[in-house]
Amino acid sequence: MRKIYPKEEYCLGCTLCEVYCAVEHSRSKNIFKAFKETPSPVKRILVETKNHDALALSCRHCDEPECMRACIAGAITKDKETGVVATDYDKCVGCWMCIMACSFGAIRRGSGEKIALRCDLCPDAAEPACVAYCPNEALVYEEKEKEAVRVGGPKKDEEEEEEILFDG
Amino acid sequence: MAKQKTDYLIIGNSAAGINAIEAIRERDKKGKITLVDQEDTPVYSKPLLSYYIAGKVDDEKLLYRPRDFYEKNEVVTLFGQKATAINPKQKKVFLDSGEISYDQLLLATGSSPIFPNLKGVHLKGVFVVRKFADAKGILERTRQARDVLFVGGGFVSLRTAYALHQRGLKVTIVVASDQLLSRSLDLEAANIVRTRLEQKGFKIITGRDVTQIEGREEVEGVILDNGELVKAQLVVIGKGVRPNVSLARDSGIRVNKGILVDDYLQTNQKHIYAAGDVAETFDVAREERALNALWPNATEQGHIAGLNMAGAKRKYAGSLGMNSLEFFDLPLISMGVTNPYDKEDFEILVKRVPEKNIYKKVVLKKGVVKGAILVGEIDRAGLITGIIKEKTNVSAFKEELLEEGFGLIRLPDSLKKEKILEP
Repeated sequence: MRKIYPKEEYCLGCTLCEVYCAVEHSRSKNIFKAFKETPSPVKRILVETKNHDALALSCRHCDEPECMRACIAGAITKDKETGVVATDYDKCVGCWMCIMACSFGAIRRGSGEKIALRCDLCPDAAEPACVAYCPNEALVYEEKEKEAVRVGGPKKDEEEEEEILFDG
Repeated sequence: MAKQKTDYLIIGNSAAGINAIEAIRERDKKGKITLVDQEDTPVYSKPLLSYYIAGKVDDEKLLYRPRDFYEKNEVVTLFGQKATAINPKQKKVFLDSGEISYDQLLLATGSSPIFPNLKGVHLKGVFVVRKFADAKGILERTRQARDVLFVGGGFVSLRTAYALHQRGLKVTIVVASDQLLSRSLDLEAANIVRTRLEQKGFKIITGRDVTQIEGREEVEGVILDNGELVKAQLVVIGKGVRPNVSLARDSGIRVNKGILVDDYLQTNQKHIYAAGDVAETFDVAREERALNALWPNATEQGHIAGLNMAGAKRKYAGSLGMNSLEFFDLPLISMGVTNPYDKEDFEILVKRVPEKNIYKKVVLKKGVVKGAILVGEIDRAGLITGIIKEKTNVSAFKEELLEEGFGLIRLPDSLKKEKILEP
């Protein structure tokens, strides 16, 4: 699937991606009005910085989402066709189990509302806002052959090596 | 129903069983799946019961999967039926009403609440919080009860106490140890929780045992080990759970505290797997076998067992004790080893911001994170979960772990690249 990938070597740490993410997820989708809304719009991408390095991180839409397994409400699903991991905010109760489970730290608490928010790849826009507005092309929206693997979780490799033969 | 045959037989219609069904269907669209459970209801979320009691979720939202889940996944459901015995050699399971031959069997029989041996424990108005019927019973009882008393101060008790407080009941919690959440938090963190609850009118009694539940037919209160009578028209027992192992044990499957499984979640009997609360698995933080009867462990185990039952060979990396809670805008998360007894082997780092009720602690052993407590500031908690599971040596940047700006960027390049940059 197409995903948002950060390019650490190009990222200036300007946080414009955060700003436009929040705007895209506001009610008005207008940068001047958005910041007066209550609850205030929440960004779903986060720029990490360390010295002169920066890295913009959002939901990885994992193949085997740890957040989905942790969700007690059955609110998180992964679409078999598109690969998008989505949260049903009607079902989310704000228990924060997904925040506890996501080893990328990519899920955020809502502002005022008890819901856990994630990147939805901007379904209403031609391309995700963070990618569209990044001034230095430090975020790309593309399909890669290999997907990110989860931290510390079971690796898939073994599966292909050996198949159990049923002896009935 | 007499005799039946199935490719996959799953006993237990909850977290592990449902995730196993989904995993089987990822690999095998056609094989016959049969699901047995004593309860006759579509799968609901047990951890949501406290939200149900609070009125935050209704009957529909309590369901963990849509009602048509079984139909869509072509699952034959035998609800309201009890499995009474397994014959691993003949690959058969006996039910009250017949028998089923299987190719692959999953024991996801879950756990049951521990009922202390107390006089009065069967009085009307005494509950546990485990099943849908319990939650409905508690709700019904709130019509006549003004005071609710909890025996035990674990996560289930606290969540339910919060729910009943929202319903307007006066809450008392009695715990035998000197703190709430004694299995998950240290005293300092527990005291932050305690203070917040007490500010909101909860009465919390620590270091006391309940010796008797009082009442004729209906519960009227409890008697503590100092002789004190505490009034309550509703008593909720929260003394933890015990895995439902009797079916397995009586059928020659190896059981310690829970059902013993290998790295692939198979029991000592071929073609028989175990997952969820009933399984005793390797705890990645404690580095020993443990019961980690928690939702995220159950779902992942179910998923992996299901894949393996359908012919994969997926290793289970191990379980981790972890939980999350929020009340009165005070969130907290605890994971792994949080309060090591043998302090010499461990290094403990703490950050405190008392005026904001922030208390964060990480527990390290030889440079590897083994556990954490996060109170008041839980954002990106999963970064720590990942580091625990991954056994990353954090010696070079351990001081940064508790900083607000801690992130993947602080990890060594190799790990970071593997994770996000160049997958």
